[in-house]
Amino acid sequence: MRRTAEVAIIGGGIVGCAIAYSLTRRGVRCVLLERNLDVGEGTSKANSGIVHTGFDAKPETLEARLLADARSLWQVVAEELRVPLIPSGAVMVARDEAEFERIRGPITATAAANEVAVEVVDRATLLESWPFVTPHAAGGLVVPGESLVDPFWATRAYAEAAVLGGAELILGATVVGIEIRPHDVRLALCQGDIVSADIVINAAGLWADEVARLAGDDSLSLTPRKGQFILAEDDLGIGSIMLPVPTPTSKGILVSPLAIGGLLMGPTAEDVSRKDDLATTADGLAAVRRGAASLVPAVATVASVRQFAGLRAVNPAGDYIIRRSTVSDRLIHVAGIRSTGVSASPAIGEYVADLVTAHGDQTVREPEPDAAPEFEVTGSAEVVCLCRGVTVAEVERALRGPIPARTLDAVKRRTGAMLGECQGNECAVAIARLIAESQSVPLKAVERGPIGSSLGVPREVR
Amino acid sequence: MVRVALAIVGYGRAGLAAAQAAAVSGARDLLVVERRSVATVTDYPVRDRVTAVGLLAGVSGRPHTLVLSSSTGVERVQADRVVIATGAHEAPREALMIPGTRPAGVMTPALAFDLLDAGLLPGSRVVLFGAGRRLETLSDCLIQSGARVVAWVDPWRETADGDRLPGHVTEIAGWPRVERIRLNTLDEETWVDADALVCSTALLPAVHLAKGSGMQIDPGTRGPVVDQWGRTSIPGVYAAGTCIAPLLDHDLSAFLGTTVGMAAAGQAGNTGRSVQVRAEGVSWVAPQRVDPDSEEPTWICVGGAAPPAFFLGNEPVEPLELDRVAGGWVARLSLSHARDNQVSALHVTAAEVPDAR
Repeated sequence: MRRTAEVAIIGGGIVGCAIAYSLTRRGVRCVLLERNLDVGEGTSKANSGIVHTGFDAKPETLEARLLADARSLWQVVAEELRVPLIPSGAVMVARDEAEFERIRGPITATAAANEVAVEVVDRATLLESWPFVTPHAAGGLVVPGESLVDPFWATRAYAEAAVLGGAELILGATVVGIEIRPHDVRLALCQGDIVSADIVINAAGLWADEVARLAGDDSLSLTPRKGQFILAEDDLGIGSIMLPVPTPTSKGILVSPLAIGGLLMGPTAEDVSRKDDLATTADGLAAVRRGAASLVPAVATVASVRQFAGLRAVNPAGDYIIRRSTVSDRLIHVAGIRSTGVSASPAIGEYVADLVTAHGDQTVREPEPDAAPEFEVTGSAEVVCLCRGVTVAEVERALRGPIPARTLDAVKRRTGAMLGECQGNECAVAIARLIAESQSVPLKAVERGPIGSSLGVPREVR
Repeated sequence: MVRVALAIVGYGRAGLAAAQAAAVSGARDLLVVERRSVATVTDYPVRDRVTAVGLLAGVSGRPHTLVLSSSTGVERVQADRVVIATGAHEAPREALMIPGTRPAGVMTPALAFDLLDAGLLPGSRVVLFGAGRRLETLSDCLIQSGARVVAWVDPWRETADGDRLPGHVTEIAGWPRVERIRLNTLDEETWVDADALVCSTALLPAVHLAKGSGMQIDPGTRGPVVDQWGRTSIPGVYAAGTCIAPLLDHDLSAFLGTTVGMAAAGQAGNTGRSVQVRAEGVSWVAPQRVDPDSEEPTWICVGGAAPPAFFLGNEPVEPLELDRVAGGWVARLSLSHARDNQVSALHVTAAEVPDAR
């Protein structure tokens, strides 16, 4: 099959989806290509879900500038997309006098340079307002502007709004070739399909360097940095993001409530060699517990429902890379978004849309009247996921949404099913049956997440 | 709103026994709700395919409210007394904090049985991790279905027994499907090629309906804090069965259901004081409170591999019975000889280290 579009976006993570949303709002016809079976399957699904103010960003960088723009944009976008943005605030905890000195000195100065409001609090105030903090604390820094968002929801909401506005999303679409031609760019997809576009945005996250190379552009080099997380159901009454004082090499291990409920500890920061190394390790998980407990002692023993690892894209420049390719103006890289993709996403979307619309003469269209209609839940209230109290009707809604869930993980991220204590062991087959029915495929064809991850294997005579 | 005298949530062995004991004790206005499909002929109504998703505790003697969800919608039922007999789920690899990749093919027996029922195999080369009758049944079913059990490690045993080795799963590898499992058996680390891992080493009480009710939950069992009559911290709300005794194998559910059913019907458990049961050097203990004035011997479940010892104050209490089961111990204790003893706690310690208390 052949498709044409004004803009093709490679990568359905939060960055690609935000770009699709911004472009669609400006009336640009987009195709969004995602190689997985759902959006947000890479870095966007395994992060802390914090909408960061950028108070500690390196001033004068593009990252700092876009984080600053995003601070006001998030309010608008969250309302438009109907994504809950939880104004939790953050508290940086100094575990000793030396750390408190860094807060009062360089960290406060950086926040001032980034024009982010912060407040230094002494030990007594810190322990009174946040009594679960370590008694060894020397003082702290309150950052009221930090918030929480469900990164799955935000990613999907951008993509759904784009789809409802006329963008086309192709899932399971791996780009295997890029041909720059005089008047367009042709993308070859793994199934043999061709997409031709005036402009191609490379938002392939950790793989953006490999996508660039498909076009003969060797100018990007991204390396994966692993972050391991521990998730608990019990939030221990912690309502704010608790941050450690960063070291020169790492932002450190934080303790944060989650937008969807529960408590998150992590991440580690480990440079790894493989871009698919999502394994947790005994040492890494122990380091997460240790680091988290140094801020909030009670988390040392809290029961975990889940552990996972994410990979963020690190580039040697230490800043975002958002620019045209070295081989063609028709290819725009949006790479090296490090660990601030969720936070900066609305500003990245606008920034890239400015770049694209400056290139040609697209007319700006009014946004679609109702980009994210609310879907009423009707149907059976029979509970399919006991741990999370998710009903058949809620699963069915996820199967019929603007981007229908095709995998168990996609249902999980849309409904919260399978995220509780049993981690889906009690209900996965029942939910897989609903998926199979909605797609008219046999149960064995339903994937958990990636291709090749179906729950069972067919019986064979051995 | 429907109002009943006694609502029983869950119709497994404990719920069934509780319902029958309550009915025999003369309880009227009895309602049983059960998540799964059940076919039964009883004197009391059993509503199946109904999930209790919430419990609103009635204050100062007012009835409790159960929130029920089913294909016909969400409704509320008021009950003067409630028995929670909702059982437990097998702890998944996430609860056991087994590090490694997160591939398909790692599951508990619940998912493995569901796959077999659906005509699929959990895997063709399966590692079993754990113990208990359900895992043994699963092993038989897998073999009959043409799968191979390539290794079976059991954290609850000290010595090898045929193919079953004492040990742990220490790492999972492979993506998007399991490829290898690392085992630590008899202090040796080995990797085994496998395409599935089934974990059944511990249970997690399925008391989700109590979330937000204020019911006290024991951090050890992760089920409700109860006394030997199943009384929870909410007056008029009881719990029975595996949700209070989360051992992989035990034959207590019918006994507990009967005991708790009678108590909930007002026929037992209304005597005097109660003392705390303290777990000291053992993983957990249930019940968490006992009545030392009771004529009846009390049941005690203890989590962990080490045999437990019991002390009322400083007095050792010799159990009437002490049975080892997968994941822990089941004891029967008579406390009557200490009836006049002004003790404040029953201490449960690991026998090897009595000084721990």
